[in-house]
Amino acid sequence: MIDHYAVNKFCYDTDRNPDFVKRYIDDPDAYVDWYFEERLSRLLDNESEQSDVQTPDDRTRAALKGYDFAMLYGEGAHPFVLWTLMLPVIEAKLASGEFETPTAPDGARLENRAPMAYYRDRILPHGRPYFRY
Amino acid sequence: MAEIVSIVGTTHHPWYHKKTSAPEKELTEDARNLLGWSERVQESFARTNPDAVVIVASDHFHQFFHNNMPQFIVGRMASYQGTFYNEIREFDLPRVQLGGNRQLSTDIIEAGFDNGFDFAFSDEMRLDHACVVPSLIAQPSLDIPVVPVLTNCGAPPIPKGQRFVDLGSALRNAIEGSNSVDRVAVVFSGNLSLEVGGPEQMMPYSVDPDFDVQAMDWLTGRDFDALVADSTYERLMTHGNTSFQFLNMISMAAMQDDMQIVHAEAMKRRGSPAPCFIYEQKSEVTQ
Repeated sequence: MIDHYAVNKFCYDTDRNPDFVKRYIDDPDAYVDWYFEERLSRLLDNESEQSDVQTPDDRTRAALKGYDFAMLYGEGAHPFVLWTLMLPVIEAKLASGEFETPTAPDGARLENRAPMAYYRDRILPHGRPYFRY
Repeated sequence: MAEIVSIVGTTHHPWYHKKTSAPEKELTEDARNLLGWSERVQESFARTNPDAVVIVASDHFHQFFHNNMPQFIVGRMASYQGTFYNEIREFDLPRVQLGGNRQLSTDIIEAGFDNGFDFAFSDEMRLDHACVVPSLIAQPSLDIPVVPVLTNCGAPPIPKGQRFVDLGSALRNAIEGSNSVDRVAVVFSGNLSLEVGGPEQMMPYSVDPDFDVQAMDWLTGRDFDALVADSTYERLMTHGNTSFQFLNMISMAAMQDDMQIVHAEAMKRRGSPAPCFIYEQKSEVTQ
């Protein structure tokens, strides 16, 4: 099972900083390693103090590096912060051709249509997981 | 003593600005419905002439997170900036500035102690689309000062439905006990069934149409037993993973007192319908 607080903190703290989002899109391996060492280990909003939040295991690290949002979603990462961070990642990867453009369901809404469809295809098997952690 | 002259329950659909700012010929049916709703709320504000707006809404992990999550928090600033960079990125929301009323904020916080709520407060609060969009709907000129009351409807453990019933009554008592303003509108920002970041989020149909119908009946009929019974984490999750913001609508119904519903509609749109409520004092309605 993933460490929910650590994953949610990663998503929340990355998504609120445009520079972090860009680094996560451009070089996820380096960014995730840097984040775990330099920020996850510090109190949110007080970088001078050490945090007792434990560094997640290699499986969680690999999922964040590989944009494996379906696994994180299925194991109960907060669906809102996970989606909000993955949206700009998927948008950028669709634009670069790194991710294959999906087919949206019939009648699906127009806003963020392609990234939503890409995301939906992968989380669908997990339904609506419990995220009360 | 202040009086509550208008209560509004509204969607905070984050694409409101983008959809309604399109050229006239390109407006979608959803956009036209939203603009019609805005006109209706503006007409109510023109009739009732509030000099402050209390907004009950939920932060969407923009300012508050699990490291320090308030269940109920009152903004206490002379002015507020609205929206965050990632909302501009995602929704094309405009940055806005809203005036505040520190004395009304303080009055609400202090009255809370006598009404069962020890509100957290913030002298450094920024507002996300849950406050910005209802403000654009109700008062596009953004001239009337606001007092934000943010509720935790996103980070479990979330307060039970009964607390939102109690919140509506507590806020009424707090506002009516304040001498800092004369006429107050209270805007409740929320939704019926809804999903964000889940399998139903982009679908053209409602996440839970049966709940939408029931919820409208319960709210208009003030069936608090049913509302509370259906407001557990487990029940709300069956209506979509973001249906928790429905809890703010329960506070709206609890604040009604002897005011009259002048509009109650589940506005049809692509996806789940949007709650649209206006309450006014009976004397305003008959004028």
